[in-house]
Amino acid sequence: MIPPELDLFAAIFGVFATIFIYSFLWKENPLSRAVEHLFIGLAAVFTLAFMYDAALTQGVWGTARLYEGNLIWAIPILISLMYFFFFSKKYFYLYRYPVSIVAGIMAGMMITGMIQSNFLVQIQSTAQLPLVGAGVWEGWPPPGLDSIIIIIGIITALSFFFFTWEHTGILGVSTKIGRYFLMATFGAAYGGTVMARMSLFIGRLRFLYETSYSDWFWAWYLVPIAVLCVVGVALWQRSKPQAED
Amino acid sequence: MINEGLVASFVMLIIVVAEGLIALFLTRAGKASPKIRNIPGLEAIEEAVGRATEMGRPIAFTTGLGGIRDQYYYQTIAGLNILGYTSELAAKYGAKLIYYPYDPTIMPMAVDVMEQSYIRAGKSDEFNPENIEYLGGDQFPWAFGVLGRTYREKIAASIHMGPFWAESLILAESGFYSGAIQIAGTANYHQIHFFVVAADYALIGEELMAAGAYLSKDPTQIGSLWGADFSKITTVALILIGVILTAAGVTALNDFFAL
Amino acid sequence: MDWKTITQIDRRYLYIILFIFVSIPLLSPLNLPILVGEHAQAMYDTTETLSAGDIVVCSFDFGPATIPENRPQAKGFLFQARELGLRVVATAFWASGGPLGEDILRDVYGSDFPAIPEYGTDVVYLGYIPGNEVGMQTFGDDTWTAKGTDHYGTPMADIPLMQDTRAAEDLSLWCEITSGTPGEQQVIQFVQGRHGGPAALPLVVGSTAVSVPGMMPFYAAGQIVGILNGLSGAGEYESLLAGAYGYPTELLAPLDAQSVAHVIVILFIIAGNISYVLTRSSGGKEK
Repeated sequence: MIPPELDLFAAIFGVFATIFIYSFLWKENPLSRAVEHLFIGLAAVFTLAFMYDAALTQGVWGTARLYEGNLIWAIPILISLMYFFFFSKKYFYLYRYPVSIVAGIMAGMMITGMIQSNFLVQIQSTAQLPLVGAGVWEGWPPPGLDSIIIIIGIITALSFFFFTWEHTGILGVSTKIGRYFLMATFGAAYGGTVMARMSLFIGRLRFLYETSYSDWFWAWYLVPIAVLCVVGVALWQRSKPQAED
Repeated sequence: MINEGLVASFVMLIIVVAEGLIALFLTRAGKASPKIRNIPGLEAIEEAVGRATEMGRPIAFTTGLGGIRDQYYYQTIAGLNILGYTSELAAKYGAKLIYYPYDPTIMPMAVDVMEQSYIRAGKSDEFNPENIEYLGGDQFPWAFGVLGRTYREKIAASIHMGPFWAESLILAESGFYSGAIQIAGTANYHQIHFFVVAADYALIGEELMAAGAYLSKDPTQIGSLWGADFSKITTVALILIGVILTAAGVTALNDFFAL
Repeated sequence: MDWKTITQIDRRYLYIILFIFVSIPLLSPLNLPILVGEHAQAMYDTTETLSAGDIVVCSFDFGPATIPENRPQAKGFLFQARELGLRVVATAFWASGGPLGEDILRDVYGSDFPAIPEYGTDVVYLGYIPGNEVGMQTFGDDTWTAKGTDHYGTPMADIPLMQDTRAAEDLSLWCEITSGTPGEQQVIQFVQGRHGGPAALPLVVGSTAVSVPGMMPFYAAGQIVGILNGLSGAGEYESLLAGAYGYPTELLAPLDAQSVAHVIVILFIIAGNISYVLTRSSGGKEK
């Protein structure tokens, strides 16, 4: 069946786009380049359309917005319009005001959000790790050992990010251990990423193998045609005289 | 006055801000002069620019998927700081630097930063805004665009500084296979491993934010970095005290956190 | 085979090997057993504890690139919510999540969605809410301010379910289907943290596998109570739903393919490291 987010023509186009983009793995070629440019153009249009729609809906036309007489919304709209002074040679510096306002809002939001969720709660949950009590040192691995590893990991990894003290003596030892913890974390994340990438690859293969329409169209019929296109273009390129770099 | 459950957060916020401000004022007043530890990735930028100049090939610079409209803006601004430094070096040496912004909102800032750096290098007439190439505001098209250009432009040095997500490996791999010297940094810990593996130099986590102070030697920035170190010490102290108190069956700290 | 030169093998051969070995289980499944992990089980169990009529949010914060991972996660959660009689407020804080979310809702609630009898009472789709973190925070503070209408232009005041959904306090669970930012961290910081913490608003996450290691501190602290880790998490969740509700499974073959792919990648890594060690021990220099 056709995936619900696509129709027949989108599926046909999808097969060619998939093969052309994957051909990049073999060698950069005009077909992969064409899809790359198309991809960028579509993304730019998609972003523009959504942002335009969202800005107008949120600021102007939406319920209880400017159009319905809620004048407070004129303020953010006017501030955001200051961005356009960027195109003026004389008044270009005015674009800096919306930039600083937005950055300031984000700083405030982030600090208040993070101090609770990423700072306090994390300290609290680390401090509550079980070190003594019934069952803490039973079984293998004992939960108490996990707690010790986590506590050492947090403190030593944090010490790696001390910038204004020389990493010598005890701090040197701590940062060295911290670096190993960081590397172990990176390894775990790398494993997760391999898994994610494989999932996406499998998703693409499923699209090629399983997409069909009314019993007469199967996406994989088009795969050899797309591959032939890539090969044809590669041969045509090879026959062309090479331009000097 | 303060929301229930957020009192401890408010107190901690006051402590962290106070530490930062005290450190900042002491440094600015010249009463303390903290030294920043060596960050090899930043030292390597000059080498990368020099190499690109010798080879006569361009330098590619990105600040990841950062804009100023999201909470990762601080990484973007750190990236733009490094962009300013790199583009000043490029202007001095006469190398071509191409910047690929992701978010349209940082376009004007990037133009501003690069233009200023060319002026600082005394080569304002050589600044070309077309070396800032917008590649659409969507993750993978942008990454694919940078990837294609890295091959076609025969990039000699690839510098990625800012918040990165799943596109990080695409960028790092493209630089690796095109033989570019790569320097990359991000505070997104779920992506930094790619840079550690594929780049020649990696800035891990907060090293990216320390770059501004490291490169500029500006007392204000160094002071705020020093203050951040104090807040880390506070964190370590709170964890250790909390662990000891919890093991001793004292719940005072937990009760405070729950306020 | 010369182990020392194996790292210099043309990478395109590796692509071909991977392509062939991943294709085999997709075309002829191996039917390997699925072992349900702690995180998927926690997601399932947490949702099961809710009572019929509880309001839950399902947020589609991903783009087309991660459909293979995020789509089955969202579909499974919506299915379980429907079976339990939960009232679902579906939305998206990613622009690209807007249309994708609608497709998933059609998959679960029927192709006529939103023209179904329960629309507006048991399920509502708000579509894309702009503003990233700011939009999320506003949604938690005052749902009606974040968006004045649903995805189809009906004012909030005319939707019975939205009459009962005015702020995060009205929610019993937040299900965040995400592949980046805004995602689970933003829900924790800007919604959960501001509205009573994890006890008041539990958070379950369906995420692309890349981000899961980074979520572990939040899981350990109870800020996240259940996680679906990429495609494998979706497969585990699917098998739980199949056992309890007869949910039609569709991830058996992809999970087989993923297992095979992982084995191949592990073999590549081992071979690469052997070659690296041998090259170093014989005084050679890596290219």
